[in-house]
Amino acid sequence: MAIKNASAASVADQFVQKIERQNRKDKIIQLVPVCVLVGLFVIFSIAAPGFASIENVITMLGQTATPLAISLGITFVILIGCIDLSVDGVMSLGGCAVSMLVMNTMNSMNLGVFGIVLTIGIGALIGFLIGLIHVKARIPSFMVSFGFSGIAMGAATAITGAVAPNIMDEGFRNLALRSFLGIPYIAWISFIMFAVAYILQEYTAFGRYLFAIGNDESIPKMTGVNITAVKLKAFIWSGAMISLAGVLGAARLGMGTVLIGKNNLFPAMTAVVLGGTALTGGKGGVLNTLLGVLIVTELNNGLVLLGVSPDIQTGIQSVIILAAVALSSVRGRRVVSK
Amino acid sequence: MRFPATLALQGIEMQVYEGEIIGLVGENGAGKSTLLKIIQGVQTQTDGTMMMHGQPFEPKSPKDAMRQGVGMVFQEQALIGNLTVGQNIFFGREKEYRVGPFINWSKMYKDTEAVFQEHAISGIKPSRKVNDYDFATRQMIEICKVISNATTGDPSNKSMILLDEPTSVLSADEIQQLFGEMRKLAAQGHAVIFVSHRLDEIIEICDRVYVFKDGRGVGMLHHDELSEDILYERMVGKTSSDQYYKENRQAAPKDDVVLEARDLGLYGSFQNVSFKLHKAEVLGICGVVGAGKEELCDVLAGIEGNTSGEILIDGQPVRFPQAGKAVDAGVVSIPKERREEGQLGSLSIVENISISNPKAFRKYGLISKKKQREKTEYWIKDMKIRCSSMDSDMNSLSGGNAQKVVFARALTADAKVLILNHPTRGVDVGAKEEIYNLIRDATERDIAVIVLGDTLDECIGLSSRILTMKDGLVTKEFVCEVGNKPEQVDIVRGMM
Amino acid sequence: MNTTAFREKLKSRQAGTWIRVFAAVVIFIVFTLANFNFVSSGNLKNLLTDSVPYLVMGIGVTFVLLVGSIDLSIGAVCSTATVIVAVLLPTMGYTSYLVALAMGIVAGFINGLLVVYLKIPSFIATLGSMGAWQTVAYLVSGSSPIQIKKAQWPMIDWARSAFGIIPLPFVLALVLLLVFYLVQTKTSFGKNTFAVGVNERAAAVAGVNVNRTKLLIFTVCGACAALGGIVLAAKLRSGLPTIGATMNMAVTAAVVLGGTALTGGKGGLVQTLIGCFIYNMLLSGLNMVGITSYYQDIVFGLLMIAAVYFTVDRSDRHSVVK
Repeated sequence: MAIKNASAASVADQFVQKIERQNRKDKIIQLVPVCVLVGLFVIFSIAAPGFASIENVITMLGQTATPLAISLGITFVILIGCIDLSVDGVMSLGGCAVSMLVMNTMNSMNLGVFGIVLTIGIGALIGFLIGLIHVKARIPSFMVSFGFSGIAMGAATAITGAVAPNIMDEGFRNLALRSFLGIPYIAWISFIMFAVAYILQEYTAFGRYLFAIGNDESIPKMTGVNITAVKLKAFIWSGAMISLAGVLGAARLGMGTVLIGKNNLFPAMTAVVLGGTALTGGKGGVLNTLLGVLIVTELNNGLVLLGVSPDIQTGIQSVIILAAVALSSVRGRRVVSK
Repeated sequence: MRFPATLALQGIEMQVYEGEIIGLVGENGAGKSTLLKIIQGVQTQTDGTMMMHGQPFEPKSPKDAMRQGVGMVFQEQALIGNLTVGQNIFFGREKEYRVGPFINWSKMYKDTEAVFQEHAISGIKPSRKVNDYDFATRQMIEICKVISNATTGDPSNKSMILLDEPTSVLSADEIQQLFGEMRKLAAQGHAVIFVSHRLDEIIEICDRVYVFKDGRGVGMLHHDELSEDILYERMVGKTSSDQYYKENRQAAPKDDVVLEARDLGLYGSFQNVSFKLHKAEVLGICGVVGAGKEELCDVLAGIEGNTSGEILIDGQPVRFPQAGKAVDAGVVSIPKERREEGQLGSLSIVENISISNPKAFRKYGLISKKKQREKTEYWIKDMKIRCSSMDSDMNSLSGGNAQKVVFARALTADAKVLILNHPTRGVDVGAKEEIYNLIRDATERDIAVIVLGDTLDECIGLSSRILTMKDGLVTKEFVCEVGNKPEQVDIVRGMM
Repeated sequence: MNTTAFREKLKSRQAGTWIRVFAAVVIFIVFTLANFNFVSSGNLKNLLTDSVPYLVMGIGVTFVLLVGSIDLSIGAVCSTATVIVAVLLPTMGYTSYLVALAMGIVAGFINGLLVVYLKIPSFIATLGSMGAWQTVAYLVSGSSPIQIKKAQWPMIDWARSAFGIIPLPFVLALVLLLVFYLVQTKTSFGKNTFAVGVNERAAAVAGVNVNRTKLLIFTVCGACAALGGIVLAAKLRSGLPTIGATMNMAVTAAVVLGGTALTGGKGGLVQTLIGCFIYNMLLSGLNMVGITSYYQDIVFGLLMIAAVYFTVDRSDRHSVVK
């Protein structure tokens, strides 16, 4: 049996190097979204005529309206390590609710801007409930939010009934019909929300706490940060944003149907994951999400120009999500993936 | 401070003066960590009082302690990687920089620069993300953060910084850098408590040293009195009666080698470990936390995969891609954290005992409940497991009895090698003796045992051979025959 | 049995099951009183028939929940199975059943690979595969239901045959349930499932092959989802690419209602049987009493959250599932 007198620092060195290696890998992963964005642009420019034209680029920017709003919302929730799957339902509810609060063919409400504010408030309330149930009852966030998606969808169907209300409020509809510099107002609203989200994330303590909690809850807990409050705020933000997306969708469609929200969860999740925000929390942010939304919009736009059916797009997005998560997930024998 | 059935800390008397660097030494479980936890506010003492600057000191939380001037630097860094250096150092104190709903980061970064200047640290930009810096630099940032947090009170009230094994992953230069920091702090009038298992470091930097043993303070030495020999002597205790560890039943190991480790290594934890394990042998492995002995056991049991070297069972090289393969090969581990890794808590005793070896209970291809219950009945009698019924949940058993069930499971799995990781941890005194008997029973069946003892005493009493590990390497080997047991002092020399 | 053991039994999971049986009986009585048609032979027969897809798909879901994972793709796999049967019945006859089943096995196996070897959390992995299989269903069907023509009806009429009020599919479902009950209680696979669900790490240390167990479980779940689709296609005489969306949450809700915990290690097929009955009675009863499907969504969403609340394991270990 050999007794080595080798320098003890070598095992310690190994330990340190293991950590450094992980950090380097993380840095490289940060660059991937930009490469994908540029790469896809090049590919589509060549493969699909008209893709790289100014009109198409402006069209694409306009198409980011609803996905951007949704993705901004769920980004904060994902940063703390939770997830919000209530997108489809809450968005539909938002669209249906606002279509019945502004001037419409079904009732005599005419609340205008206040109707929009109220709708966002409903979304915020739902987000609050999801967060509350998740934190207090310790039910996994995916389960609570998935359940609420169904509840919200049901509520949306219930309030609109058999006939979808048509929106008659011109100012409201103009949000989608009129543009500024070629880009519809609804997209500008999303861009503004992006700026708001960015400021929240980088320039408030709340934003910093999101990263801290997602990274390791015990650290902020020890410093006395009110973790429950931060989590609830994240879910409230998410609900409000998703509801806003519903409002934008209703403006575009001109009426309140439950279809407004359908199939919006996937593109939003894909965008967030592709952008580089880790599902485990603590990493990424709204800048990453913006990149991700641009990539997804680019992908959809390009595929449509190439003549690919929209049904297949969900399939493609699913594969992309899986690939992205697989590549970024933690590789370690001790990871318990349930 | 009392823990169930054992006293973690008793009658500690300690004074720390401004401008001092105090060292705490003692082997595992001697009480150092518990004392630090109490000072830090993570735990509350059951007896006695603490005073800070002449006033009663009873921190209810780490934040509370910090407000009163006590900060602790952990081994695992408490930094948030994706936040900047400045944001980390002032984390939790954003209120002071608030401008409406926003935070004035540039002002915070200026203050961060000031902190760095105070400690003559250069080269760290407050606005860069913590993840951008290497490990040793992050250690520095962590220390600055703790110091900054602990010293924001009244400047005439000096602070106390606790450092728990901060040097384990630092290079020699970085250690000197750390010592420089500590001396600066002391020069400014703050107090530093330094815990390390490396006695050479303790001797180099500390003004005074308190020695701990078995939860008690056994001496205080001034810098001039310090030497490794004196520290070793104070740290170890009298050897317990040989009856306690059933030494009369200690058998001589057979010649057959059942398990061999050749140049075994796990990147970042240990390397170049080689030894042969014989039938009926009890091999004890001693070392401080972080020395690599726990990771070695995990590798041998197939819970972690080795990155170099190989394991041989009965002369054949084997690979254990998962623990199941190890169990199939006859290497069964009884883990340290029984609740997290050892027992299937909400399942019954019957199910827990049967889970490792389904083959033993099969009848016509399906698992026979009757056979399971027969076997369980046998073990309950044989090991004197105290339970209300064999269908009770494992969760309902006391520590000692739960441990016996885990033992029964290992034996049911036809173990050839038992890897016991702190087998009597959380077990009351009576049950401890029963477990020692179980270990002797196992050796009588020619089973080889590797044991990580709860105390040095236990390790010496149980083993027929001892290996010591330090910082990832095996340092010494001791023959441990009945009547010729090594002294605790000698073992400790190999560990520290 | 002495008193301590008896008291323990009361607190045990058996107590929860009996409470649910009691609840089921109460629900039955309440609906019967509200509308006597509830106990008509026609309605009872419908009840049993409707519960078949839930029972069959519930088997797979039960195992997945027992290990502490989740499978969100069962609906999409079910849809695809119905479509495959509808499309292939004219050309392949009974072999189309096998094709659909094979598809389910492959789908489940892929889910298992994603979770076990790529270490993707199960809800993301199955969310992804749900999207993928939904797309397959749309592609094969052209996005609209496919009617099964009269010529093929003899091959699907077994779904409508019955012994009195007990439909044949129900009997088949019970047989399947029984087989898997044996698997659950008397095979090492079954034991391992519980072990992994209770404490994955401890199970691994004790020698359980966690990877193989999970892989098998997801494969079984995919197969059961496909079987459910086969039954639905035969019963409704069409391939329905959209039916999965509702079945997804509904089956999971029924299983959870029965008492199988989301956090794993607790529950089983007996509980699932009870849960399916409660769920289907509620569905049928609410319809009879006049509560439309819009409000049903809300009721079931709330019910499920409540059911999860009562079964979830609060200990710190499980807050890893975020």
